[in-house]
Amino acid sequence: MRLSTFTAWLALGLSSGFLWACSDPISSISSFEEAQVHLSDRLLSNINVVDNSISDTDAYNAIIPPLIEAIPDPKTYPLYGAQPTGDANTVYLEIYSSAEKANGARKDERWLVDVAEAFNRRQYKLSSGQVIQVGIRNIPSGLGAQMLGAGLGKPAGYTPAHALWVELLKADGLDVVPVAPAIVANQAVFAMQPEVYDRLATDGEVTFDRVLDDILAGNIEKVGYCNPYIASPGLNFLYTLLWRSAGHASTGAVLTVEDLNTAQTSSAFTAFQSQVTTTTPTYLDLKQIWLRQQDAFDVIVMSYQSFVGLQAQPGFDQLKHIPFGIPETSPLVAFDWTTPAQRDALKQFADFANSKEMQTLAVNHGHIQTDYLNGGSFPPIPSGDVLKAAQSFWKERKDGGKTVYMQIVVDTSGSMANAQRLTAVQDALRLASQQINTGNQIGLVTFSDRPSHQVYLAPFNELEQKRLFTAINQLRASGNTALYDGLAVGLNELMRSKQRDPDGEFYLLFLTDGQRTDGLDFKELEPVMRESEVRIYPIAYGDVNHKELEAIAALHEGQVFEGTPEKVQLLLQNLFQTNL
Amino acid sequence: MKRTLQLLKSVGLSWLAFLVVGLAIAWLAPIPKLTVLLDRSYCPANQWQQVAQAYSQLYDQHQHRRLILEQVVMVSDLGQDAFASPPTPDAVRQISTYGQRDGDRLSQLQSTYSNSEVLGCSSQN
Repeated sequence: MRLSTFTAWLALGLSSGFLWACSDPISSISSFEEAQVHLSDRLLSNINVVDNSISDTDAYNAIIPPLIEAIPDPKTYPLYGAQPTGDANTVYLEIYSSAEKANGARKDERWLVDVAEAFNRRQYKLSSGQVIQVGIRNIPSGLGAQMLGAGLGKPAGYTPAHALWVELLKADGLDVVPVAPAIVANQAVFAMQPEVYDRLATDGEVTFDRVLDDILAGNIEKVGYCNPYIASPGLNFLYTLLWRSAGHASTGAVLTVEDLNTAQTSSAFTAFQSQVTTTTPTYLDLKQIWLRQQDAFDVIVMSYQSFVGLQAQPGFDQLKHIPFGIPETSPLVAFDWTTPAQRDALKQFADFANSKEMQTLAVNHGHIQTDYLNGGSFPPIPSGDVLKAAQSFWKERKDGGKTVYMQIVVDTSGSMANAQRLTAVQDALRLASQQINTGNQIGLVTFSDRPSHQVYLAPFNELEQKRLFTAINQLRASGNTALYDGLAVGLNELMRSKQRDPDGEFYLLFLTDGQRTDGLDFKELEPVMRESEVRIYPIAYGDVNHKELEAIAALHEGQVFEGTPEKVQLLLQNLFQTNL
Repeated sequence: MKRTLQLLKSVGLSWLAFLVVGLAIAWLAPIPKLTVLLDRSYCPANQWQQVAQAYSQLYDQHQHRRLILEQVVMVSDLGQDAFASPPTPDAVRQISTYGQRDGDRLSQLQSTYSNSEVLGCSSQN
């Protein structure tokens, strides 16, 4: 009897001990503090981290060569409709067009491509007898303006989403010739959760001013915004906000550079920025985040044409919108290099695009002539110099006094040596580093067989820029892919910084060209990433595990960016410009 | 018995007289009512603390029933927003300020609310 009791207790004790030993400490992580302890005490203790950090002396001695802004070649962007032939009986028009109407790959974003194809089929002629053929090159408005300003392309025409981009071209010294003030309806909007709209509606009509006031007053907390250097609604909103807060709505006066220096304008901008939870390069990125996570935003800035498509998605049918700013009705312009025959041809094409048949087609693509557009009460168009000043104003003050911390975690496994992958990343990082605001902190961690510290987080200044340059130059590709080990090292430094500066903003840019072959796995690090309060932007740079990268991005309203050696420069520049 | 009735009568009459006098005082000297218009146009932080201090004094009077804060309305050049009940001085201290002073809107609100006081940086100057 005694023996059997002893045996029973022994068995119970052994089972309990076994269960305890096998219990999963990971599943119990539910706070930032627990995640940090788990990361530093359990995960990192098993990882051998190499310290390759650059000494102050080496950094001081580094020489940074003059860097030219990375503007891609227009020819790398798709050309739809007719292709150039060189035929003397043909007048060929290449038109740079904003993406929301020139994306031939998407049914709801290809109105101008359809117009061009219909126009080409009908073989319209000039009085000289030459046949007009039109090609549409899909280039986002802001990028198109940058390419033209830098003299990288000479299309016959340019049709950005709105007239502000045209003013920026004029400020760059381009001689712009108007062809048509508008070819298709569109406008910028606040897309809003129905609850936010309904709350405001209880006190009367919901207007742009009331929504903006509610944001500035801090009542709307999750605002999504997009880079005003690239995105048309982003620039439109920035200008409208500054114009409105400069007090010009009552007089209709135009915004001036002096207005940007007043405390009144600056305070309104700061109040807005403090409510922005996510800034992405384009509004389509915001849309993707929202589609994945319905409660990610209360309000986002986007175009109405895209809003129509968003509203058609399951769960978004109750979404509301409030229009603002100048019309996004796609002006068409020519240049001083456009020949007289091309100008005549552009005029014919613009008339065709504005025909009843093509405008009916536009409605099917979400280009709807709204009451707002018919109302005709818009802010005046400012000069390009003011817009450039407004963009700089945004870049300098967007952090609102908060320090931004960004850890760059780069894959340097052997496969990165293929097809100039690492070289392209090195070039991209060098150029993108020009976009870092002084005082923000940037770190660099690489990983192959083991993770390696290249640059520790430190306030960005001339010395840190040199340190970053030296580190970038020294990157070499070899070995396996201890992907999550690298991520763990990068996260650990950010989390330690967050302890010291809880009000900072924390990002991790994570570039990989392959799948994990060594070290920690996704499941081991997932709870730490979840509780880290760090937004992770994975860049898929080759044959990656998309499912895992999507899961990482989704933890904190991030998204996966697709990178290629050809596009990585622009991608990193946009991400740095937007976040740093 | 008769004395008891007399006593009750005197006590009742006294209370009645007391009530009448009280009502007369309330009618002749009522507690003043006030609507506060908080002008939240841009105001440097140190000056906003003075605005919050001025509000705090009104709020104290409201707490001691020497004043009734009927409404507290925040006013900016973009719109106006009335509090459901008077906010605490701490809450007012933490309000962010932005944008331009909207004189027209403030004048219009002052005419809407017969007894109102504007509290804001510009009104402090």
